[in-house]
Amino acid sequence: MSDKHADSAAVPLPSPQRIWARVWSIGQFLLSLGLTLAFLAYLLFVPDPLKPGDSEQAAPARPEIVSLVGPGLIRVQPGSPLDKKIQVVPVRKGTISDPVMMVTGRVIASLRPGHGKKEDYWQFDSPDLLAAHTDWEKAQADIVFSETQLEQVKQLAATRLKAQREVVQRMEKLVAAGTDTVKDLTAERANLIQVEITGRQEVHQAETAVRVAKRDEAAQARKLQQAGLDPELLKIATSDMDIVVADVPEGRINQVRVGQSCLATFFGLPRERFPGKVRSISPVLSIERRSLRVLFVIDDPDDKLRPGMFAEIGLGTDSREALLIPADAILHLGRSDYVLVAQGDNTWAIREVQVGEPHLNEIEILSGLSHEEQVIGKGAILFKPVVVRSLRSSEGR
Amino acid sequence: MIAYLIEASMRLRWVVLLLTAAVCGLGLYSFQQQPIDAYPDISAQMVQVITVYPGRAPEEVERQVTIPIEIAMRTVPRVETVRSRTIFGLSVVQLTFEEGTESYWARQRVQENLASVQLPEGAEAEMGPLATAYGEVYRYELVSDGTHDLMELRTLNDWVVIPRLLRAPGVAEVSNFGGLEKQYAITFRPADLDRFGLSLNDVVEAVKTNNASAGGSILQRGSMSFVIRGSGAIQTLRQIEDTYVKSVGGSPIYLRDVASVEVDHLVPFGIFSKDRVDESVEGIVLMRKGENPSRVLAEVAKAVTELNQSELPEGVQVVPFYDRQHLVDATLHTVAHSVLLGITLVVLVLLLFLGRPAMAALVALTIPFSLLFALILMYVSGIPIGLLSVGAIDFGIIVDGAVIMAEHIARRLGEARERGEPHSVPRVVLAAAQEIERPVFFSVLMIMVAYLPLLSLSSIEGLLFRPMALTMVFALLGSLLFALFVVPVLATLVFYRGYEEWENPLLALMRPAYGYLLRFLIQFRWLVLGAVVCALATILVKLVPRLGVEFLPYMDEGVIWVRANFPEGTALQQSSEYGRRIREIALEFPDVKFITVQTGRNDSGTDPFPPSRLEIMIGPRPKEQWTEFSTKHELVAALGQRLREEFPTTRFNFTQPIIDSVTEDTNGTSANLAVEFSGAASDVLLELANQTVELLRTVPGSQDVNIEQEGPQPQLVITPDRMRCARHDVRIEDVTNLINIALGGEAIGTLFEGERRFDIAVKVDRRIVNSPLAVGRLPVHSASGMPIPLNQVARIELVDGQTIIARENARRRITVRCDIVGRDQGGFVKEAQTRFDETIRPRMPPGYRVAWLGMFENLDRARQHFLYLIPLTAVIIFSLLLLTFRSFSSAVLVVAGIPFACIGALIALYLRDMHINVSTGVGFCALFGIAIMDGVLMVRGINVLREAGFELRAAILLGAQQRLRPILMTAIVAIFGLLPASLATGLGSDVQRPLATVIVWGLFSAMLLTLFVLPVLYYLINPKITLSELGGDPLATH
Repeated sequence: MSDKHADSAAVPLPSPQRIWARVWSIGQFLLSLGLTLAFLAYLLFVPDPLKPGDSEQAAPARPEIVSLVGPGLIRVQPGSPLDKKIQVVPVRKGTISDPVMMVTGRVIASLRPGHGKKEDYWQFDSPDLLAAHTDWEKAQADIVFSETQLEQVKQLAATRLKAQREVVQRMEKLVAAGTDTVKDLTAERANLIQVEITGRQEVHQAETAVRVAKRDEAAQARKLQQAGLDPELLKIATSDMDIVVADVPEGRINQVRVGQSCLATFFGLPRERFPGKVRSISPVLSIERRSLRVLFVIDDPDDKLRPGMFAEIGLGTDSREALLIPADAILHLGRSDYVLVAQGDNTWAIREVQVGEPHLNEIEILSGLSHEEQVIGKGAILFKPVVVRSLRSSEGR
Repeated sequence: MIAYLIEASMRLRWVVLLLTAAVCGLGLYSFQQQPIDAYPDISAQMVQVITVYPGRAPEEVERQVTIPIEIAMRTVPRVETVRSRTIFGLSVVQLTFEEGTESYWARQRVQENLASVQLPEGAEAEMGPLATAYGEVYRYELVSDGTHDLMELRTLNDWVVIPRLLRAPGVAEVSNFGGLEKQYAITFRPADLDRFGLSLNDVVEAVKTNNASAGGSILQRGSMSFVIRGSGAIQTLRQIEDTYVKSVGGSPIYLRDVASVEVDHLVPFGIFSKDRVDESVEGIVLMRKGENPSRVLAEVAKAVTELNQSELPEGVQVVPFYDRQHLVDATLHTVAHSVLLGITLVVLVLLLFLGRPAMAALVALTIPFSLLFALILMYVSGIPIGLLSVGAIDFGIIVDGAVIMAEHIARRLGEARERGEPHSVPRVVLAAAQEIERPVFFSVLMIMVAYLPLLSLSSIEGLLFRPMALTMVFALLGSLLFALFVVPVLATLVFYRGYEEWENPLLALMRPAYGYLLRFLIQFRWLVLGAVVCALATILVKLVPRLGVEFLPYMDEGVIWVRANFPEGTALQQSSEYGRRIREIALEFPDVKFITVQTGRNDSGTDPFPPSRLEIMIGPRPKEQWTEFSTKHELVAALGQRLREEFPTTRFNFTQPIIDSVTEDTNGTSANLAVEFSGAASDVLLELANQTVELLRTVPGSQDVNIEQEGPQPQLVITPDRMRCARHDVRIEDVTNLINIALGGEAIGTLFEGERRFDIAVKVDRRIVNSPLAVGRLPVHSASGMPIPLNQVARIELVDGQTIIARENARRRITVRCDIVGRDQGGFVKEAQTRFDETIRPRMPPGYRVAWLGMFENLDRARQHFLYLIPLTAVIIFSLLLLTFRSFSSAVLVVAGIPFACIGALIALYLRDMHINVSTGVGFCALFGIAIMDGVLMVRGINVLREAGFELRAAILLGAQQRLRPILMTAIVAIFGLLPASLATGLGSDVQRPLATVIVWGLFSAMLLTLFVLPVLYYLINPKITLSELGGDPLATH
């Protein structure tokens, strides 16, 4: 290659080729400048039909399978997997005899059948009770005795009075007949008064004895009650019944009433159930236990029970009708319980309910539903987020 | 200095060769010692404090446990964040330390502060294992042939399998999931206790006082001594039954008279299911932080083999279903495949250009040497072998220095041979090496400098890509040493007979055509410039906005991890039942191999999840066996669609196990985007979160928008009424004992069966406690022993309480999480923030804060960092060029290679539908250093001719043609070196692929534009030529 320094060498007048080259260079420069600027302007100012990000659209929105279609209304897409998964059940009206409460107790008294000449006799679970019962029976016997005594004393007094009156009448006749003296008559009249006084005194004493016996009997009856037994109950009990006592907590007293049915299970006879009824409710609350003593009379036709046997007693087993739904149907939110009630066309209404006790896998509905309404059972929990949203939007409104 | 060293190396050739062999040997040794892992451990330095406080509601646990621990941890140094999660009976406080904090130091500080915390009785706090979420390396199922039930399996897992696995070196912890934990239960009915006038305390006291052993020192008899030992500990069920309780009327009452004693189980926290097995037992092995996964897994496998062969009973086997070794092996396979293919292609290109196998081999030897050299330094600096270290090395760049050196030596030898000069080969080689050492040094230095700014990356991106940058720098250093000192030595041995240069005939044909084309382009130089400007503008205005932005590319871990949140309050068994349906659905897909479902939480407390939460692992079959889908994304999309149709009210999140756990631990959430509210009142936070959920659902691209923390769930709250307790003479302690022990099943004693120990618990018969009313009927005993129903001394209410309470830095927080699909993260977040600022922010009460977090936070941080990094890299390179050329216009010309390279890289990203992320950012930084080399060669070549007196146009044409071969060779070698990595689709190629794509296609466009446009630019700019003060151009290769 020749050693030329074209740029630095001094050049005489430019040749036509050089002029043409320069013109071409300037023309090319202007042309490319114009084209470039035009292109840049086009890039910057002509709107892009395809905005950045448009080519990467998010996945098209799919139809919602479960949606809120109104205040408290949920719709499930028919035929969707969710729709197939939920179990729709009717609100069932059932008869339940589950106890309203369970208490523990024991047999405190049992009337044992007598044999032959022997009469039926009471057996108790504790010496204290036996002693109290004995004292009470003695007191009753005392009343009978005292009353008998009173009758006889009255009879005696009346007889004495009558006899003395007759004596006075006879004396009067004799005095009138002059066979006897007035002094004797006066003495007999005085005796009559004495007899009257004595008679009244004796009657009074006998009456007092009766009253005392009765008071004593009442006291013994109360003692018996304090010991846990209602004397009235003892009077009506038969040998195929036993008396069971239990303590009902102070806070549940309002759930107990006389005549209420109950069902007892005894520790020693776990497979048997013994029906009975509430017969008596103690008038006094136990200070230490803060409970009320309740007495039941339990049927024991086969005489299997013995005093002292320990029992679990279900109170309030009278059959009653109740509305029942599966426990799965209940959704608890905040402080309330809700269910989803069918409205037709795969739509469900959110409804607040009051729930009671569970019964096996079902729950009693106290209010909020009516018989034969349909609710979502198994699978209701899956609706909880939608229910929450619905309740939130209702609160917002 | 370098010239002197080269001379010394030529004199001591055998020493050089010995040292080379020593380096290779050391490198091999390092390779054997080095940890090998798929991905580096990107989890932050963390210490967990886990406190079990059984039976307490979250609010209770928060107040009594979590907050005191948080307060105590405030003074721990170097803590970045303190997060906590509190659920029923469990508190997990997590401290995240600053990057670089040493693990044991951090744990020591936490332990010191933990010692000062006053916790309530019954609460036991301990530190979590020295492991991170990344450390879950192995999962197994304990399988029975039907002869062992769940309780037996659980017992075997607790007492045989886990203790054996814990002995494997490197294992930090083994967690159990599922099964039934055996306990001895004393189950009573209140009526039975009442029968004998007993209280719960009587029973508890009886068990406690009748279960103790004693030591009575020594009894001496003559020359013998006897150790006195009292053996009163309970060892059998019969002994529990025979425990004396009290005497009634002179007759002893035993426990069997008032309660049933039986082998029972604790209320399970979690249920594990796999495929069609509804309940099974799982073990999760956690590797200690910093251990070598391959080595640990080998030990674990050995332990499992031992267990299966001899330690487990007949019919029971440990069957692994997740083994990180598969991911490591697959990734290594991908890396090895890419690397070997890359090396092969490099050698092929060298052969094609250099023509001589000996020359190609000489150059190719750089590759193993650099690799082994890098391994030594990696071993010293603790960088594991993996995808993002060795896998990211471009061997085409590595050989650049050796190519320049070898080619120059070959040319000089060829010239000497042509001239017939009787010079010895060593002398010619030495002269050639000394001539070229500076250009070699500067060219490699330029590339190394481009990688250095990457060392400033921090956090997750730093953990991922700093090893790559360091590895590359180490390899380049090795290649420089090889090129400068070993290539000349080897050249004297390989070319001892001299060298005849060879040119590829194709290249000889191309050269004139290239020259002709170049003339044409120079003639239309302004149009060419305009076209380039338009092309650049088009890319910047039209293409770049269309490129999505994300933090990290999708890193395939092989398996799919799904989180499913059923409505709060869903019972464990119910959730597990729904899990069964999920398993059925997944197994309908023929490409799915296995599925496991974890319902609830594990027993170690490291995952505080409620019973309504499921964590599902889906293992696809090997890719070659797939029949239905072609990519994992398609499979995930299809699974997601099916599951969401099946359970439309359930929150699903599809992710992967490692990235999910790591980012959750590091950022507090694994979502693409998380909007976090913090403040005092939970209800206000919940309201803000609900509004944000509604808002995000309307932003296009959102998916699975929901509140991260589970909402309130029903709680049966028993609150002792102090007035009524006083009236009934009942102590609060008796009420709490009833709740803890009788209802909560708190253990009151221990029974030893040989080495095994099981709890003894007293609990009320669950059949009678089946409703809140039934709970109210339970008797609590007064001081005088009278039974008082609980509802007479306490309020019993069914209310909603917190399922989980999340806190961060001493404030309650709630997070709205959102995944982003079909759209770039940056654009989505911007739109969401705009709408949020317009609608919700103005209504936020004072004292409440909002933060935009998640993977997006990392993206923001990385974006900020790269906004400095990329210009910095460009400035450093420009400065170096200024230093070497001493000409601003020359430096500008060379730097034009950067936009040239960007054109190809951006077009490639767009055509391959890849997003801009940290991987591509790193690729761009690396690309800049490599891309300018072509420009350096071209500009230098033209400058040399102009210095020799050629006029501008002639110097350009001749210089460009002369530089055609070296430019093509260096560029193609560099391109082919990473081409396999840019096209790889195997497991583990996801992080590498964007980086390799940017480099490969950027180099391609840089090469083309350097060949065809840079000469035109040179003509237009016409830089002034200056010579260097050292009397020679450091980059001159003539």
